[in-house]
Amino acid sequence: MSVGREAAVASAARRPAWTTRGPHSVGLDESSGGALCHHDPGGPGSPGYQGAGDDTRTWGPPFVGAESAYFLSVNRNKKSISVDLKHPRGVGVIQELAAVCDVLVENFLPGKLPRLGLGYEQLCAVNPGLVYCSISGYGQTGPRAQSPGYDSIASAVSGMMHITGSEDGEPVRPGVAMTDLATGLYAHGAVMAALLQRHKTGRGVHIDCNLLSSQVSCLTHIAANYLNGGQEARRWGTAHESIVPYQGFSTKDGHLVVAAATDQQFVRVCNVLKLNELTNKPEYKSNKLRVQNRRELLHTLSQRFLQEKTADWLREFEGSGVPVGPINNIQEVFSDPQVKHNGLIQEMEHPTAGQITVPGPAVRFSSFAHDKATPPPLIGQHTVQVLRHTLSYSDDVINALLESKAVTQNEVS
Amino acid sequence: MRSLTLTGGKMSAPFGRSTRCLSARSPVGLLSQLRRNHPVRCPLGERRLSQARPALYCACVSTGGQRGPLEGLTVLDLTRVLAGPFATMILGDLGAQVIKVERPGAGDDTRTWGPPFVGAESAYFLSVNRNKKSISVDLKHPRGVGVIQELAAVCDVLVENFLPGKLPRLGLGYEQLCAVNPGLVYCSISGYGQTGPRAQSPGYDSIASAVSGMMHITGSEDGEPVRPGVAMTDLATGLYAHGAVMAALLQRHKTGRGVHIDCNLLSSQVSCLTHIAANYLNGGQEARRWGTAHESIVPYQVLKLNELTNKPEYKSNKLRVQNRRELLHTLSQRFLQEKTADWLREFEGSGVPVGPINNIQEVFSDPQVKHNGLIQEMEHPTAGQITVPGPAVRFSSFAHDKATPPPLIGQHTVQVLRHTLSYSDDVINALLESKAVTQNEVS
Repeated sequence: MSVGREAAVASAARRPAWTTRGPHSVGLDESSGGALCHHDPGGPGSPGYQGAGDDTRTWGPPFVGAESAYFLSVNRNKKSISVDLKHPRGVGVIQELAAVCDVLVENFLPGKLPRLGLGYEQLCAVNPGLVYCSISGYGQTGPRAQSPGYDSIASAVSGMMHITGSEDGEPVRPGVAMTDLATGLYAHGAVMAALLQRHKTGRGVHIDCNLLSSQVSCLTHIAANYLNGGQEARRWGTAHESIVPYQGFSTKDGHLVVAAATDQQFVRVCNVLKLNELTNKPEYKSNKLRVQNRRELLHTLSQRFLQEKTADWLREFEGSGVPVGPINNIQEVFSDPQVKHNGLIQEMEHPTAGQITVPGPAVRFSSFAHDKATPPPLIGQHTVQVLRHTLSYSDDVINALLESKAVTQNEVS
Repeated sequence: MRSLTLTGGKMSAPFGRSTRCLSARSPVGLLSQLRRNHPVRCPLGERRLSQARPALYCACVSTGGQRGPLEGLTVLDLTRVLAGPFATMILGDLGAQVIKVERPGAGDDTRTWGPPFVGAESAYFLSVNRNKKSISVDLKHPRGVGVIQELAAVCDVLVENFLPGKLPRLGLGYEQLCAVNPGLVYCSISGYGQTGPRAQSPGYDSIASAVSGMMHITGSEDGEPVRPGVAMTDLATGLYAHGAVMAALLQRHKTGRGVHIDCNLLSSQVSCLTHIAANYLNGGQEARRWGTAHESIVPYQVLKLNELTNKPEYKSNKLRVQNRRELLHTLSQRFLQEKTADWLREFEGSGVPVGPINNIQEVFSDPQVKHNGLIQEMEHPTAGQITVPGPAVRFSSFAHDKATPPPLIGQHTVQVLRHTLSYSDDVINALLESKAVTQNEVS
């Protein structure tokens, strides 16, 4: 089974785990495309997305043509089929697809898919090799299993927000949904682990990924400090609890980050800043002492950094052996030559939106290039194609399904 | 603690903690010591059984029984600090045998990153190094390099995070090792990539987080940029790496060949910018900080601020976004009037997602966190009982009940030389005497 865009793997890593805005609008990301149930508008204040498919299709501006940049950013290399899971024949299509696919990834509330006849036990009875990956907010079982998963809430409940923010400020959330993304990353790895196991055993597995567990696991040493030492965590801004100077500084026109972890690097920092007298002060001789006397030292350094521009500082630090870097805004990120070199600006042609650009894949392999990417699909763009080629349905059967509205086909294919 | 994802260079131990002293063993003493502490076991996939925990649920248990998906695979781990060890820890959680190579003396830098310590072990090191064996090898010693070359010849995966070019100069680069072991999956983790203008910059989460735009978008609306409270750039890279390694192993089933994988902090974090990036790349829209703000449904009813529902300027999300300042001020004032627990109770059943901003103690008091097995206790040979955050993902086919504690430095040197490389005792003793390798007094 090849792991690629036409094969039976959906990369749930490429979309936020939760796009629901109301009780009914959860998408089933399934093999060879996104089979999406209709969003049923309801609930207080929820927007009325009729037949919109994945919620994020409408999350903008900005839009490129009719496509939201949001949707475009995480949906390349997929086919879209539009299936009504409230329609028994729609469910039937999904059951038949699950029988011939390798992997199924879903993020419904636990219990929802089994009630539709699309649960793991039901599907693995027909396809014992099926790798079934469930993504939820809190887990498939347990006291919170029925709570819908939102990155912002999970980020709060899991401790991530408590530890993010300025030292004397309020908790904030990471600027992009890292809890969602970490969950997607865990999921993509788990799916492949299961496929590896299937080579030996011939059997699939049910995988339980959830936002809470992903983020709590990622607490790593923050968690271990508490679990072993009873040490509560706090916010540090850009600073480091145990290393000084190791943080961001404001410059005349922006910010940069300095990571001077050794005494030698501290001396170099003082050299570059032309504050050599600091190297003679006994209270700054070692990192431990610098941590103890951080307030005063950081104040001195901060004042000095303000006096020049970021670009000038970066130039002066070159060759000093001290790790430094600018706090880039997004334009600066995508002007960076290394970002371009790493192929992180991926352009492609979209059938209706024209040229689109998305952040490229993070990992490179020596054995293949990422040169066969297909653009994010229009909703239901591949319904007929999939029914015909993956399920070998005859045209009569396909037409009957289309007429029953159990499935729909986009005018663009 | 912010990580210092490292390069092959020296790194001083910032916290002045004395490192463990490794004593040489006399040949006779060594053998009897080893036999006493360390009965011969199956060389691959061996595990010490720690206390079993019940699986959360067992549906359609595979005929593979309780074996992890990666049982039978061996990972040679040359990484240090956070991104690499996090990745190899997950591979270990999934059943792979992970051989962690550490330089004699201090070993992995994070061993000394504390307080807090549990016994002599830093909580930091303990948190990301379970399910690994440690061998202590001096890569400056040609015989030490020889040991690594021979291990690479019999391992499935090698993971490293040296500055690009460093390992090839030692004879441990991908081209050199795959000539001997064409099936080797060689995963390199760096700051910026194996090639390109910044390839020689060492990788630090804090710098990469800044350069990649992550800090620019994190912080309060009118405040300075801040970094996520844990090194998410490092961790995302580790997560990408663990998946990439398995993708390569899947491909190896078809082709029989390995691959060189390039993971780096910059690419991982920039890819994770997702829609933030796409907004700029397609719409020219620069990002900014929003604090905790999020476009969400405002819960008027529970706050007993029903008059807000009649205001035309708050009727739709679009309008609420436009008039956010005034609305959020009103809501903020109201929220301040009661305690979190009371609010959470009042919101129950309202259909509105809410959650407390838990501190770490509250996280680990949460019943769902306990239910998900996220508090993992184990017995450490010298530190006694330790507790670490548990694995994030559950499989119906096996339970995480075979975890072994993070190793002492060089705890398994002799065991690995004997069982994985089949070295005779004479050869092992010669290596120990030459100091190309060292063995911990505890094995």
